[in-house]
Amino acid sequence: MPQPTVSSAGLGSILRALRAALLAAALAACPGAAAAQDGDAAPSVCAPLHAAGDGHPDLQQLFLASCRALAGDAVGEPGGLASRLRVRVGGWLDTSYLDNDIDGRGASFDLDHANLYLDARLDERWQVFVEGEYEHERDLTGLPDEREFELEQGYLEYVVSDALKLRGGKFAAPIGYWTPVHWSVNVDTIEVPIHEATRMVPEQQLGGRVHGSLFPDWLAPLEPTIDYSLALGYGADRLGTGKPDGLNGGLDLRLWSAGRHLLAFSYYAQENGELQDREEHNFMLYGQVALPANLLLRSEYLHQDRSDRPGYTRNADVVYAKLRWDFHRRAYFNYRFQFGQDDRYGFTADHTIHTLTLGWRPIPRVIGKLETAFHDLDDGIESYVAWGASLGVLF
Amino acid sequence: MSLAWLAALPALAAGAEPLAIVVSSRWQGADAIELRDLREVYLGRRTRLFGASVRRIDLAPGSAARAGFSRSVLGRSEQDLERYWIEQALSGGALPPREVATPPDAVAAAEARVGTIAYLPASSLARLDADGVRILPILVDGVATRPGAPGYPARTLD
Repeated sequence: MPQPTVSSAGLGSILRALRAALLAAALAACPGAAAAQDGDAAPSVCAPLHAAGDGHPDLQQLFLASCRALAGDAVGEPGGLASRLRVRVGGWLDTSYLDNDIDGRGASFDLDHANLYLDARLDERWQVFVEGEYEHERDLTGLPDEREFELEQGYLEYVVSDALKLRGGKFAAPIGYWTPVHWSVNVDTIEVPIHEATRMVPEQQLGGRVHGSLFPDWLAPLEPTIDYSLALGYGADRLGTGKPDGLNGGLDLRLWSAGRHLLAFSYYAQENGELQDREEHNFMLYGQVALPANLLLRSEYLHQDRSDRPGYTRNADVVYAKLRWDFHRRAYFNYRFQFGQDDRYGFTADHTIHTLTLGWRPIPRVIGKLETAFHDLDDGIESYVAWGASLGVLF
Repeated sequence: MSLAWLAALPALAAGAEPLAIVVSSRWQGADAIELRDLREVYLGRRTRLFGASVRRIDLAPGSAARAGFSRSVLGRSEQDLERYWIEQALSGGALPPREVATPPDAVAAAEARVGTIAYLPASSLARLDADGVRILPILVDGVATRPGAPGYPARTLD
């Protein structure tokens, strides 16, 4: 296995420095100027504020442990609260150049996302996860150019066991495969699937979730694992939840075989507040198969049953199937076919897309993509070709 | 228990050798493990085994042992595994295993705490003073199988 090259090691150092700068900002609240205690060696930036015997040792250790964790040092000392607390801070950003052959639409280059997250865990039972996002949406199909800052996720989770976890707050909606893991530094393409672009289902849910993993003994040759999720939420315009209005929720069931092959089903229901509270029932069948020669085949099919409203087809179906080939340890080729009903043109049009993507990860925390997509639309809408390049960095 | 016999194991294929899964000798009840459970533990999806909270030890990236463990046990390439841990980090999911630099470090970590699982080339284990750990066999068709036995699944890359 080849060792990291000098260039990749140098890039890794730059990323570590960027992370350290981010952490330094977070250390502003830490007791950085505390004096040494009882002749100890010169203090680190996270020296304790008080000598032992303070009236609130656990609070002191919590603060100290948080500071040390943020500074990248080993967490705390054995036996105290600090040794039970783990904190992870990170983020990512990505930028892209996009162009197309649509008349009147030129090329664009911009910062698309900048995300920061904090993940704090106590005793492997309690978890707080917070993620903030800057996002710049650029859409070739007519939606306005939007820039926004938002709380992408913010939730509290309690782990009863591997089979039962309770989550409350704002979290990635557990619908299908793409939606819960939709971050652009994590997915294989630049363009998102039709059902994501048209927001047929929401990216996040505000409410509660019960989920877990089961490891049954039946069908042992398949090495089965079952993931389940039940979620219930509430949407309102004043809460910034987007389309969902009122109660919404659903379930997700995944059957994994040997940890690589998947067959799964999601159901999600909501009232669409942007369309006269149209009732929408979403049924998604999805899965993946790991094939020899580093090939991965994945597909998602979504059927949305809609209560009748003027101007839109009664129901919508979208499907994609993709084949990814990891032809090199650091590079992949991805082909995706999509077909479905697309509501972004003032009416519902059939939209077919062929997307070709070349991806490159010189180090795990950097991903570059080159992509071209051939869009074919009916109902008199002009077909077009889009192409672009993106670069994403995690820190 | 002497582990010197491991040194006599023939390579399963040119350049590939079995990986031994090791746990603390004090961990009662840890007699053998299903391949699925070993995989789910290392992917962070299963956190308790044999009545104990599990801590996982990974060897440093770039080693044939780690690449082989990713392939033969986790069923993923290292590139796929990198994607998986990024996905977990961004979604507040499982934390990755703790990394150690060398096989002796892996043995020391397993010995130090009940509930710790580590892996290393079986031949490396034979050369160490490893009285504080024992090998955890993998169940193959219900039979506890040790490194080097026919059908033993965990191995390094060629």
